[in-house]
Amino acid sequence: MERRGPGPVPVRMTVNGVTYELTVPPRRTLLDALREDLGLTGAKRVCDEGTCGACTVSLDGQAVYSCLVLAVECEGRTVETVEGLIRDGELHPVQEAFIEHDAAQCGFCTPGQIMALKALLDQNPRASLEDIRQTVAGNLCRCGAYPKIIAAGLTAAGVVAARAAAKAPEDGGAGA
Amino acid sequence: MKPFAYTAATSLDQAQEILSEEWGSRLYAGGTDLLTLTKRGTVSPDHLVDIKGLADFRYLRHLTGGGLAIGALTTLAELEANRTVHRRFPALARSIAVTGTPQLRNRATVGGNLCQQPRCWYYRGDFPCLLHGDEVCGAAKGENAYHALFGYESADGNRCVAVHPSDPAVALSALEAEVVVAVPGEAPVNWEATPIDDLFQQPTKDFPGTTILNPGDVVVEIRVPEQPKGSRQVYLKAMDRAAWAFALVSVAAVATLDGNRLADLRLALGGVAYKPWRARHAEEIARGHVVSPELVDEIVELAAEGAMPLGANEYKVPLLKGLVRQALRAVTDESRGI
Repeated sequence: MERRGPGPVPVRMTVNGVTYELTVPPRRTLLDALREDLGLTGAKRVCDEGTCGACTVSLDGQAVYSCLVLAVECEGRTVETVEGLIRDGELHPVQEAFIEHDAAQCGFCTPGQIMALKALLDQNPRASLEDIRQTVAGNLCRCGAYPKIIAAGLTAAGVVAARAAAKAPEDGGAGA
Repeated sequence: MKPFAYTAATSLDQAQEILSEEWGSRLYAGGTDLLTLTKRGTVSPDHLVDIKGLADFRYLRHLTGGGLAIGALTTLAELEANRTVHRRFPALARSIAVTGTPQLRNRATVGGNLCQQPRCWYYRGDFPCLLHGDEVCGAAKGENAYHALFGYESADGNRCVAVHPSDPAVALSALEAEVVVAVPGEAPVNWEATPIDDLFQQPTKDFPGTTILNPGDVVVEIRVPEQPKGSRQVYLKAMDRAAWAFALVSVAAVATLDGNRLADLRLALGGVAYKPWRARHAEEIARGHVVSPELVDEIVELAAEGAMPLGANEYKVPLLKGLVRQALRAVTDESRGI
């Protein structure tokens, strides 16, 4: 591809299932494009240098800090934010579990925590306590709500694993 | 960030041509270090040349003779998930698992991890720093709790006292890995493999860079040789919190035992110098000797031999000794009385 910018350039990306054509300068981060250009303020701008995790989103299925991704890099790629987790009016199991465990205190880190855990459970529906602890190590909670966040992660993992198990016979035919 | 242009390179040649000819262009891959530096204005690129999409440099291949070749654009998360790395190079696997966070490891490349800039606050802030082109290293006589014990000749300010922040580099040093550097205009057959320790240089006033790379040079592969049969490896990292921190001190050890005799020992220290610091004297003394509490004491003392604390980092010396002792315990058999 050839040189683009430094002025605004068109970028096409899919966010929460909708394809957008944005016009952004190369220096715009994915975080700022989500918040400023698309009005999706679930991902939070806190440290803006990859040391807090509040801006965590999913990029092609992987949890990333959106403050350390350029929007221009997301050409043709798929982004998911906390706003996109609801399906047919139903919250994602991680969101349900956060409510059940009251895992948000001030709530500022919550979207990032949820997106990190969601990416983990997408990749590993049978995530262990240790997997969950390692996953939220990339998301700071200065209220100290980790015990509830981790409990919520475990509950969500249980739901996701049960759903995967219920689905497996249909997909594989072999049963458990 | 000030405005910059962006190119998603379609070939290494294209990237190298821009990087070697265009002043203000910077190599861009995972971006986890470069973007933070750019946001702070520590570096101000005019043009980012993104090589992340070059799939030819994102691989793990078995080398004839048993080693592993790692494409430099392989992400840390990909390496972390690789079973061969876990089984045959557990020190490397561990060094990656304790690097940054899952989100960072999903983006960060192994080549970029080796080429990242120091975490020195004089460098990352607006303070005197040789890497800024200033006359002196402010950390040498300043706030240096996280700085070097080895490898600088004098704390006169003419030498950078920052430490290299990479964990994998330390494990790769103990594993005697090499890096392959692509030089602009050179055919791949002429790309040379360099021992990993030699990739790094200590910044001085005349040479304000942290690696030997010239503009346009790109680390394209890391080669990890097969380790001696029956050897044991460990990577230990001391941090000031339990996750998501750079090493205060780290130790990578690879030991080969012949009965109760240490046939070979390699000890690389992290967080203490501008490059992974090999405790060569300790390695030499260990070689061929029967493991005993006395030998362990001697290795521990020799690993810290020549340490030059700067003022605020004296704590690193006992920390280093303690970690080396733990590492030796892990790679030898506890029943031998250590």
